[in-house]
Parts: sequence; structure tokens; C-alpha cells
Amino acid sequence: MSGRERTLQQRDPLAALVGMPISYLAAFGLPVYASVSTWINRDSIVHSELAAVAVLLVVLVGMALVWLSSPLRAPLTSRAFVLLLSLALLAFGVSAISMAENDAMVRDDWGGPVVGLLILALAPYRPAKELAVAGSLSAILVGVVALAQAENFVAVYPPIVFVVVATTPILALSFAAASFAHVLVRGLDRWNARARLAFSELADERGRFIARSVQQNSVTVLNQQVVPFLSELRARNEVTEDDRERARVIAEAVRESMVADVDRSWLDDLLDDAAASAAGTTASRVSLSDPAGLAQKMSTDERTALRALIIAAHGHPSFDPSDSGIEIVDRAGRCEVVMRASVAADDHAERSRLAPFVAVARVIFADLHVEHDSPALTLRFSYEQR
Amino acid sequence: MSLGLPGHLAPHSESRAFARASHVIALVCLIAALTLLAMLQESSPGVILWPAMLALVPMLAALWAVERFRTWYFTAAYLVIGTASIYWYVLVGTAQFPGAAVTDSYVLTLPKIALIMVGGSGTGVLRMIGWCVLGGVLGEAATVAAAMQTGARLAVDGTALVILVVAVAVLAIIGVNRERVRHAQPSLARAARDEQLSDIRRRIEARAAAMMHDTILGHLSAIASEPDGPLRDDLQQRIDADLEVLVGQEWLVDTDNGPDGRGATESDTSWVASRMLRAIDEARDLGLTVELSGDLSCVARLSPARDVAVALATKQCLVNVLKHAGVAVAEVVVYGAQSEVSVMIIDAGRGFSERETSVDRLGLRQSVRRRIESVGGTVQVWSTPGAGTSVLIRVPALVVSEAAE
Repeated sequence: MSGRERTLQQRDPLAALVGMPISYLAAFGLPVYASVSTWINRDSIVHSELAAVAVLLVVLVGMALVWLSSPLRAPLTSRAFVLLLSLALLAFGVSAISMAENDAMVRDDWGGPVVGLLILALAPYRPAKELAVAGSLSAILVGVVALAQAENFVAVYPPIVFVVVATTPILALSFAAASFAHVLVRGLDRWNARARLAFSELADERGRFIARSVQQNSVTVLNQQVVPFLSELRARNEVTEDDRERARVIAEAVRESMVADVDRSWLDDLLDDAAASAAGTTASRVSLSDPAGLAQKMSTDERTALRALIIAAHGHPSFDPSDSGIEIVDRAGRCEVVMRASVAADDHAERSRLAPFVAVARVIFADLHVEHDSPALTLRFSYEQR
Repeated sequence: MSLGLPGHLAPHSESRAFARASHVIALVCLIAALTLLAMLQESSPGVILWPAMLALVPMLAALWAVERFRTWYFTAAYLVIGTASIYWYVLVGTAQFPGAAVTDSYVLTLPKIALIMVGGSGTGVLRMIGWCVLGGVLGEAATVAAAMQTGARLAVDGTALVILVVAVAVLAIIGVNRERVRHAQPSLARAARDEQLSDIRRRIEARAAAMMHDTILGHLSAIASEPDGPLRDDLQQRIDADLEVLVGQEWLVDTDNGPDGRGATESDTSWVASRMLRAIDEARDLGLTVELSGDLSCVARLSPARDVAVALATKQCLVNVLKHAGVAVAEVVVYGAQSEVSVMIIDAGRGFSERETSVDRLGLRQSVRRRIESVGGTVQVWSTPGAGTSVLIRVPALVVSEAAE
């Protein structure tokens, strides 16, 4: 888990995927809200072209939000967060200038709430602390602007009243975003601690079972040649030329089978198992080109994400293993993977069957690049050698 | 591995997070309302607003309670107390500004938002939506009832309405989309479990292969180079031991509990120390001169599994010196650090390149590298053709204080 941030997207990619349509809602809702508010405030607007620019900036914020929060571009980085927030604050600033010295009511201004709603929409993607700090800093900026405009407002109140009115939406929404992210990530951490404990119990129990089965396999191999030979030799207690030759031949055979076992990776086993359990449709297996045995260098998280993706692909009705393959090469110390799968998924529903697994892989392999020219689905990614 | 919550827990967790976020919004709104009233009271001493401020205090208390105990009872209590508070708040507030008060004014909207953000008990999107709508309706009803009494102007509260619609939309999206996405969760959980079990199997297979390499293969090679005639006594004994152990016993189901197994007792510890020495003695039997130095006693801090692994790996390194290095002398140095034990095997022989040496590949990979890695240790090899070989084996050990206990 090292290197992963305390964000929902990175701790539970599926949960972030559940919230993904909220980005679409925000991308649609924020410009509509800004436009309607601008129309309602039209009498206050001095520079209409700036008011239009401000609304366009909100449109841009919405588009950037959808683009950056897509699972195909996960994780949404702090840099992306700063970019989005800066755009929203710029929209707020331009909108404030468009009503320079003529703004009648601070409560009708859309700038502050848009910033707050944006931070709320980003709750699945950034850590709680960052969301709260971003909200507080934005509130300070919005408060200062409200203070500067205080003399222009129609209502006659102490200037600090306008600051409270202007900052309340940002503070409420950003603190809500921070607590939402905090509760979910903390819940995940607790679950993971429990799951690890449960797994170590399972591993103890299964470990003994696996050890017996591995031993059984080894003994079966030994029983075929080695045990009869050694028993026979011990019965005679005499070494002959024939024995020496047999010892060499058996040693070579055992050695060869051991070398073959050593060279087999978990990925070989997985592809064999997947082909075997998908048998019936076709007996072919996904090809694997990994001459340097680099699959062994993946971390547990990386293996799990890839394993889930491969199994999901095998479960897809149109998956064709004979036209699919995985290639792993070493490029300057990093392992580069190209995974080609033949999956004919033309409509959205078909594609969405694999989407969660791609989203998880996207979090685990930060540079994952996906191309889908149906039926050819190509994934490219790399990983550090463990 | 963290790949998210299982499907049956996700709705609980989402409801809890949604409730907390709602309560934060409610709290900020109530504090903002109190602050605004305090400022207005301060700037207009002629009007009496403090009773309206008092009206929000029970609502704040009920909010604290529903956040603390998210039950049906406290949710209902928050809605009832909140409705009464808003009624009183609007009544006092609008009565102070006859003719000028409007029900959608900012300061009157804030408590209504706080009531929409009830959060509410239970799990599931429909229930959460139900609580929000109920909060919205009650807040608006209380406001209208109070306004009708004081004659304040009624107006549709667009802000409260939009917030209600947004909250409902967000909940609906989560509810609809969860089903679509979460179907992947069981597959992910299974993949994580399979991966861990496959890792356990690989470790055990590595141990089995190392064992085979050290025993069966070694003795077959010894037989292949025996002269005609009776079998040597020591070889007889080793073959008997092999047959007995490999076929007769559960040699892979060992007494430790995985790589961190710490079942070492006092008598185990002394056995542990002799295990390493025995491996070195066996190498000496084969005709190698082994110079031993360093802090041998620190080997006692290894768990049984790690001790066996280090002893057997050391022996394999010494056998490699004898077979391939072309020298009859090797040096073994044992170091003990706070939380690890290192063993270095040094020879001044032929040296090799690990990648190019196919013969050594199996011995070094299986009996040394994979065996040590399977107990959480590391192996480093420095070798240059013509300039000798050094193998450094490092494994975690009990820290000094733990070992002393």
C-alpha cells in the first residue's frame, strides 16, 4: 500500500467508480447554476463579456472534472486538484469583477457555492486533509472579496455579515467532502486490518493443506524412479557401471523437471487454470512471452489486479484466448507489459463489464494505457521490479 | 492488499459517510445562523433576536445526538426538535421585522438546510432520500406556519429546494451505480485470496525443490561418481535418511507458523545453534576447509524455519565452492545486527557470472536464493570470473531484547 494516498479512489477504486457519475452531474449542474444565477443577477452586471467568460470558465471546470476523474486517468493527482480549484476560483474572481461595485446581494453570487460544490465532487479523489485545507483557503479568498465589496451591497449590515454569508457554502461543502472522504477511508483501513487477520488464519490452515499436496506431488515424482532405484541400490549395496549411468539419467531428469518448475511463473499457472476452467468454449490458452521471468517481479497488489483482470476477460462471452497474449520485457530496469485481448464489446454495457477491473488496474499501474479498437483491447503498463 | 470493501459492507459504509457529511453541513449552517443573528443583534440593539438564537440550541444538541447515535429514535428526535426549533426561530425572527421579513431570506434558509441534512438512521439509498425529503418538508412547513402567524411574506425557498434536489440526486446516483459497479468486488476479493494462496504454494514448492536438490540430486551425483564396489557407509546412511524423510514424514509441514514463526523455546534455541554448525561440519566432511568467524551465537535469534533455511543455504554455498570454485578453502562470517542476522560465504576461487552459469543456476537459485527469500530474507552475490565469490545471506531475526525474554 506504500505510495498510495489516503484517497477513496486509491484505496477502493470501485467506490470511486460508483461516484463517477457525480462528476457528470457536476459538469452539467455547475454551468447551469452559474448561468441561471448570472441571468438572475443581470441587473448587477457591469461587464457582460466578463460574466460570459466566468460562465465559460465553469463549463471548462466541468469538462476538466469529467476528464480528470475518469478511471482511465486515475489517480486524480493533487496537481489536477489544484488546477481544477484554480479554474473555479478564477471563475469566481472574473464573476466578481463583472459585477464590480454594482453587486446587490452577496447571497445570489454563484462563485463561492461553485467552488464548494467542486470540492464536494472531488471528495472520492483527494485526501480529507487536502479537501479541508482547500476549502478553508478558498473561503479566506472569497471572504476577502466579500469584505472588499461590502460597501456596494444593498443591505446595510456590518461587513463581517457578508463574509459569513459568502463563506458558509464553501466551508459547509468542503468540510462535508473532507468528512465523507475521512469516514470512508478510515472504514476501509479498519476493514483491511480485519481482513488481514482473517487471511492469516486462513493461510495457516491452508498452508498445511498446500504443504501436504506439494509433498504428495514430489513423492509421486520420486516414487516413479528415484525411490525404486535407491531402494534397489540399498538392497544390493553394490555400485556398478549400470547404477552410475542410471543415477546420471535420473538426476538429469529430476533436474530438468525442477528447472522447468523454476521457470514457470504464477502467470503461467494462472493462464493455464483460466484456460482449463473456460474449457468447453475452446481449449486454447492466452500466449505468454516472458523470457526473463519478469512476472515473478510483480508485487502482490500488482499480481492481484492483473489476476482479476485476466479472469474477468476470460469470463467475457466474446473473449477469444487464441487471439490474446501477454508480453513482458525489461526496458532499462522497468518491466513493460503489453496485454492484448480479443474482446468484442461494442456497446456500453459490454464494455462496463470489464471497466471496474481496468479501473483497479489503473490505480495499481499508474501508467496504464488502454486502447480499444473492438475486438482488440490493448493494455500497456509497466512496473518496478520487486 | 487493499481493494476495497466487500459488496455487503459498502452500503453501510456509504450511509455512514453520507450521514457524517450531512451533519457537518448542518453544523456549519447552524453555526452560521447563530453567528449572523449575533451580529445582527449587535448592530441593531433595538430588535430582540436572542430568543431566536436560543431556539437553535436544542437543534444543535439533537444534531450532536443523531451524529453520535445514528438510530431511528435519534433521527426522529432531530426532526421533531428541529421542526419545533425552526418554528420558534422563524416566529421570533420575522416578528422583529414586520412587513420586511420574507421566508426565503438567507438567515431563515440556513436552519432549513440543517434539517434537510438529517443524515438519518439505517442503510440504503431510499431510506436516506426519505429522511432528506422529510427534513425538507418539515422545515418548510414550520417556516410557513410561523410566517403565517407573524404575517411575513411567503416565498418559494429556491436555495433549500436546490440543495434537497442535489442531495437526492447524489444519493440516487450512488444507489443506481453501486449495483452496476460492485459486481466486480467478489471477483477482486477472490483474486486477492487466490494470489496469496498461490504465493504460499510457491514458497512451499521452493522449499520442496531446495530439499530435493540438496538431498536426492546430491546423492544421485555422488552415486554417479562412485567407483565399482560396495556402497560407502556414509552414503548408505544419507540415502536411508533421504528415503525415510522424503517418503515417510511430513517434511514440508513444519512446526513454525510461516516465515515469522516464533515458536523457539530454550531447547530449540540450542538446537538452532548446532544446526548451522552441523551444516558447516558436513561441508568439512566433504573435504572443504571452512574458516569460521564472527558472532555465531546470534544464530540463536533466528526462528526455526529461518535457521534451517540459513543452515541449508550456507551448506549449498559451501558445496558450490567445492564443486565449482576450484579451491578447498572457504570463509564463513556470521554477523548479528539488531533485527537481522547475516552470513557471508567467501571464497577466492574461479568466480562466475550468475546469469551465464547454467550448472549453478539451480543450486544457487533454489537452494540459496529462493529458500532464503521464502523465509523473508535476501541474498546478494558478488562474483567476478577469476576473482572469487562472496555470497551474503541476510534474514530477519528476533531483536535482541525479544530474544532475551
